[in-house]
Amino acid sequence: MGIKGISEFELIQKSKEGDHSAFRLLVEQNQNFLYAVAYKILGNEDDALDAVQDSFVKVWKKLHLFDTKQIFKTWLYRIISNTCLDILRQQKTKPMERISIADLNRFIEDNTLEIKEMVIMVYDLVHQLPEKQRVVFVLRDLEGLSVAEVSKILKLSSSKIKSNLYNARIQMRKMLELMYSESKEGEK
Amino acid sequence: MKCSKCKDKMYLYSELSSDEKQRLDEHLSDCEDCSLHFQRIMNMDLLIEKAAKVDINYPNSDFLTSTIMDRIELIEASKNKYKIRKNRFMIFVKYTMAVISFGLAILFYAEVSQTEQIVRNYPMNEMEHTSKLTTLTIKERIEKRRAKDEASTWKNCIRNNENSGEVKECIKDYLSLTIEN
Repeated sequence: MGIKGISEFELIQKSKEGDHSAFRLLVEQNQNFLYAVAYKILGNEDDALDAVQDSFVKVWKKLHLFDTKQIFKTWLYRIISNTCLDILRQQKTKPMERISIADLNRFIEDNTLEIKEMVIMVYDLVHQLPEKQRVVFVLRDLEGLSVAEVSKILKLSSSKIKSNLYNARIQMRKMLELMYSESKEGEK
Repeated sequence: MKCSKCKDKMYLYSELSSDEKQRLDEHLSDCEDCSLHFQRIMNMDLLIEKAAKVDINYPNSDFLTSTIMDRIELIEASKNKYKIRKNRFMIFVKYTMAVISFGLAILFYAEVSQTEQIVRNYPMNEMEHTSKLTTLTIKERIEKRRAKDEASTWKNCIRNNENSGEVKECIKDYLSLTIEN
């Protein structure tokens, strides 16, 4: 049986022993979902690519500490979230870039212009949220993880996750309502 | 349930327990204002849900994989360099220690053989007192011993050669030595 046919558990074990081809497969299997999370949190391609690369470097360095009883994906979520938070903290002074349709066309296939516009609108609003609220909102509402999972990933209590989520949702809805009212006024 | 509390709970509707959901639903069926507010929140939720369902895929995934693997290779190469440097340093330390040990061994051997030679040159009965005597006393005693030995040699000469002229010289020497001692 070739290396391509082996399970994630075996790939992790082999990577722990320093097998590069096994680690390459782990990268291939997980890079897309990590890129999606990073892009949703950071909102631009270059930063998302940096976050994914840094995260896999961290994974390689810390793989010997990973307990195979844990879920690998949860561990990856934790690493990418913390890496994104670090990038956001470093870029506090950097002005926010708006996502363009051209950018999104590269990542989203087979969707109508209407859906693309809606996605841009939601992502733009997400990027106006404070760091922690943004990460919690992305993990819970855009990635569809449960509060318990988010709390495990970010190592925060459920009540803290809920309070961040509450504030993020209020903020999101206020901004969305404002956008809708502005667009209706424009139509008139 | 009050309207303000109800509006707060609407934002965390998906996180509420079944009891809390039931109480909220009961309030919504009675309060038109809250029901409208809730409807608006649900519409927004639907919009976010739709946006969440859209998959994001990085188009150049092969490039991303190779960039990541290149960085891993670099890390491993620098790790190996460090290991090689560490090994070289350890070899240098080992050889230095070996040379120092060899030098010390030679010095020790030279010291021991020198001491042994000194001990061998000492007369046996002097050996017993060596530890108690100072270097100066040892030298004096050795000189005295030599003088005594020479005197006894000349005594023997006198006994064996009583009539020769040489004997007279011997007696003179003997007498002078005895006077000195």
